[in-house]
Amino acid sequence: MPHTTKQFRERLADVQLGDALPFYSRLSEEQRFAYKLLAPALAMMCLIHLLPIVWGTLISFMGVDSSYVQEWYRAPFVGVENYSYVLDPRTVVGGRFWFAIRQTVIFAVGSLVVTYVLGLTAALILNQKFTGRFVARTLLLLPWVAPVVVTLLIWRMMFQQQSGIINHVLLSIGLINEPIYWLIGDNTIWTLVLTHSWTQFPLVMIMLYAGLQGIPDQLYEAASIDGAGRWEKFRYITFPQLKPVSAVVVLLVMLWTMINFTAPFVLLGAQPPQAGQVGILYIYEFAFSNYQFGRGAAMSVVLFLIAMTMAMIYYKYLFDDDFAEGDR
Amino acid sequence: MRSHTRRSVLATTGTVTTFSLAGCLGGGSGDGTTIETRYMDAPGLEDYFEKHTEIFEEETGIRVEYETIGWGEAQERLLTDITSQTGPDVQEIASTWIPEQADAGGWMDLESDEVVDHIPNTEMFEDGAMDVATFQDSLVGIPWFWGPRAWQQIDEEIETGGVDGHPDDWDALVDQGQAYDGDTDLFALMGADFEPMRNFAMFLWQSGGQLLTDDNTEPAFHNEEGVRALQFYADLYTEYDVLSSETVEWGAADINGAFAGRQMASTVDALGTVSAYEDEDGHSLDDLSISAPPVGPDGDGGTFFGMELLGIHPWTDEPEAAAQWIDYLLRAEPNAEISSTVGFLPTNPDGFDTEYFDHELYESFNDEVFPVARTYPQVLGWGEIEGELNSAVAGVIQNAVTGDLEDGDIEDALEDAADVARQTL
Amino acid sequence: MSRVNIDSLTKEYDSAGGSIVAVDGLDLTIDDGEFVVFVGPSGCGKSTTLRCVGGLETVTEGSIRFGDEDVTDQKPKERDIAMVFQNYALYPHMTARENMAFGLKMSTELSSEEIDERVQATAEMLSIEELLEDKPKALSGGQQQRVALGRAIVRDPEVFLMDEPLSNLDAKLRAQMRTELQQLQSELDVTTVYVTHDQTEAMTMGDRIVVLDDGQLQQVGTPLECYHRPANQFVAGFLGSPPMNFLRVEADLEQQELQNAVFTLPLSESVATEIDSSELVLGIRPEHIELTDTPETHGEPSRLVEADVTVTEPMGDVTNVYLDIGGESVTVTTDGKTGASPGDQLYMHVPAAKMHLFDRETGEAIKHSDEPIDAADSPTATESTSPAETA
Repeated sequence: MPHTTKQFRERLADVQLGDALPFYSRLSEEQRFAYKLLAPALAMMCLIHLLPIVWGTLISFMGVDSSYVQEWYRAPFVGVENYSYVLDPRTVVGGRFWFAIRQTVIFAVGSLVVTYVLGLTAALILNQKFTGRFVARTLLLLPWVAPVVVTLLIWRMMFQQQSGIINHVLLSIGLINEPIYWLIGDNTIWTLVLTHSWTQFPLVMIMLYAGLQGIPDQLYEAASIDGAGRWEKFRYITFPQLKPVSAVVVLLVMLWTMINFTAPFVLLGAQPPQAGQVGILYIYEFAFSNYQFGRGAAMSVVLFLIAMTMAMIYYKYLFDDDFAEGDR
Repeated sequence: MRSHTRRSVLATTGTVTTFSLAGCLGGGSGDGTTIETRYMDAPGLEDYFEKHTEIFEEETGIRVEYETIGWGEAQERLLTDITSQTGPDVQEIASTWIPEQADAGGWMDLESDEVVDHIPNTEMFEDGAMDVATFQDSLVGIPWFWGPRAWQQIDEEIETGGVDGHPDDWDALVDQGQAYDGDTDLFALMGADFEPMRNFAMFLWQSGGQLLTDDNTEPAFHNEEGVRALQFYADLYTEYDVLSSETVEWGAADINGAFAGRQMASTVDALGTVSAYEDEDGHSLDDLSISAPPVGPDGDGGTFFGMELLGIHPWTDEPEAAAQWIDYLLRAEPNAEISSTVGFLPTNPDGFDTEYFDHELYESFNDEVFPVARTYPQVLGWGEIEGELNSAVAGVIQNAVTGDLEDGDIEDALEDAADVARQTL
Repeated sequence: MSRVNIDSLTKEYDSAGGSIVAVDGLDLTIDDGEFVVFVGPSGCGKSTTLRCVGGLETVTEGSIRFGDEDVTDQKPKERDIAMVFQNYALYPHMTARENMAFGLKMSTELSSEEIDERVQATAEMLSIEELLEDKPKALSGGQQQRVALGRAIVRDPEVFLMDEPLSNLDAKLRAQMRTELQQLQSELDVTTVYVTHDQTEAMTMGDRIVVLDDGQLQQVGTPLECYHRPANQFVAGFLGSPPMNFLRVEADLEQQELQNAVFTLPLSESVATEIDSSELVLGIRPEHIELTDTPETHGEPSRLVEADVTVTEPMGDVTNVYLDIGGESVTVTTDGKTGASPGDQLYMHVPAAKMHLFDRETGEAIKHSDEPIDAADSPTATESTSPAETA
């Protein structure tokens, strides 16, 4: 029924937004139609993302604590006091917070490297033609589709110092001489990186795999003729060709890791060691168990700004480096 | 003007939420009164409440709806409830949450005129329990059940190990631990993963110290006694080799399992380990004996107790019915039954005369352990101090075990925590 | 530069229903410096053969030698070849310069200065110096084509392989590049294997044409050989545009006649002796038929066949006239001034010398046209291909 679509369009066109939004009147008919179609999704985005960001930022300038939980808007405006409290490295809380930020960066960058290497390796393997490829793909997706809490709890068991299988294996192949503590002490952050990467790499794998499938065979043939070996083909064809999708993957993994709560929360148990107290976990514990929402919000804003800055630097670097021409 | 508008918007939102909630939960109350109640999830709870809501309704005509909630989500749910002034009428309170939640207006003063005539007689509760239930001179909850940490041992294992058991003081604990040569892997154990701070508090009290000054205005743990307590705690793992270092990673379930499985001969814990032991096939309470934990160098005793309370949310429309329900739950029989179900002790002393606590083991708890049992101060900001101390203690113990603990670290950790405490208080 | 020897080359692909034979026992020798064009319809095996020569496909049976060296199992990089692909296959993330330098960087020990020099020289030869810093996306199709060509030339390989390199270009550019490529090839004097489905390219560019169909070699020969002396009906029909006309005829050897439902044509004795089957196909190229509306004045009335004009296609220099002869269509290329129009009744003259005969069952040629096939004096060949260019 072609005329239904037309009617729908006409009815949408009747919605008068031009008066309300000045920029709207400058748009072409096509663009207006597009915006109308986007409107519901945009509204949801505002509700789910924008509103909390604005609200959180507002609260970070207010002294919201347990006394003002019911009527947060009555809390006094305290200017940057919350920020100076949480950002002062000389205080215990400030010191903890900065340490948590540092651990967050290690967590994000470490996870990114491990996830990307694992994901790329898996994608390259899947991209080969071999029997059982379908089964392999399904198996490789398991860590991602399996319920993450279950996965993390299993890892937690495997990382136990005495009874865990990881130490057992490392001991029996002679890589270590005595059991390592994975879940307490300074190693914790690396345990976190490994475990989180395990749950995330299939996503990277699938995205890179899709990217690999999009590289024309002829480029490899041309490279073969030009005398490139396996490594050269990877180095000069595959890797550069994956650049656009890699760019997205890198950004997503980095940001998602920075705000990942589940992995540290589940893996490290009720009393997470210092080294495992990444930003989001520390903020949560701090804000929710103490009802310190003003200061918690300030910490969140700082984390948010750090994440955004990293993303912006990253994009700037990418665009400077002619990111757009990585595609075909 | 502006804030007025904002408030009316919020009010409207609140009303809408209430209506929709009422729509969801309300149905079928008939002409009688209905109250909603919520408890922390535990095995056996459903059966218990099914049975007792029925009895209660027959008796009073008041219908009680109940739901359970996991510990993981409880704090956030409560926060949402308090912010939006919606939720159940009666709810279980964890003692450590009281200051913040009471300050946030989450709990009704149970001595207010609306309810005071219907709540249980508070004179039956121990003073320590009432201290916890009272915050800034108002009664925010009724003590429901509690559990002090006690020295618990499996007598047979202790004998096999060639030691006397029930160590009187720290020295005896160390001596026995080192002399122990039993079939089981471990002599004794205290979890460090779940709230290691509780162990520290215990050693601190035994060492003659206290967490805060009497008027709750200053930290008091960052002194000689505090350092001695934390040092002893750490030394139990490293210096004396009494506690096995691998167990630093253990959570409550691991400990219960180890005790129930006779992988260790003794522990300092609440009743959870006892229940876990009893539930195991072929095990009997007769196998166990209980006493107060060992005293410190100067003869000070002390142990930690945790307590759950029942409170009424101020937004309730049925305060009287809510109070009646709490009163019912605090009767000796129902109180004893729920305490037994969740592995705690009843706060109503008559509960010990019921079938649920008909064992001398429970007598020991009541007679020997309660007198030395203490808990955290009820002061606003305690949550932050507790969180900081938990981190500090966990850090020290974990570093001790991994060999990263250096001279002065203990002092520094306690000093840092004291800084936070000073700032918070 | 070297001679390429293909010996009983067979390539089979595994597929769900068994194996598919893409190339079936192909024998071919390509001389040093020769420009050979593989031509045939889609799926005839021409590209597969090229890819086998390039090492991009493994060989099922048979062998390939470059000079004296057996390269059958060698990897592409060991073969010293360069290839130009249909859609250029330029590396999108590299500039034209990097594209051209890549092969030298991979396969030689040349310093970067030397590589630069060679790239520069090649770029000048192809007049693409200006484009060297651009990435492929910024180039037009023709420019990309030149860069792709440059990438092959700069390598100075033993053998050039070209897989339909011009088919993505528009008609005008294609014609221009055709000439240019030919010139380049003769200048460089590198053995070249060129694959195309376009018979115009095949006719104009190659020293020799290799006609393939269904994985099998149909004919190898100079373009004119293949055009005027087609080995079989397939080759005859494939080369030429408009294609050769085919009419089913019976040979009556006693009467020395070719018979059809609507006409009979006399058969010379010398030809009749060659014929061992009565089921034949008569082939005659459109440009070899003469039309007349005055049969009474024609010099050879016995070779006239009556026909109705159905359609005329004036192309300017020539006009294609479509005739109906007893239900079969015949195309005639006449000069552009012809006055024929649909509905006219005409007579077409089928000269005995220009007539081809094929065995209807095997398709084998029995008689050829007598057109000269020496490239030096073959006015017909150039004439005959001109209409194709505009097609």
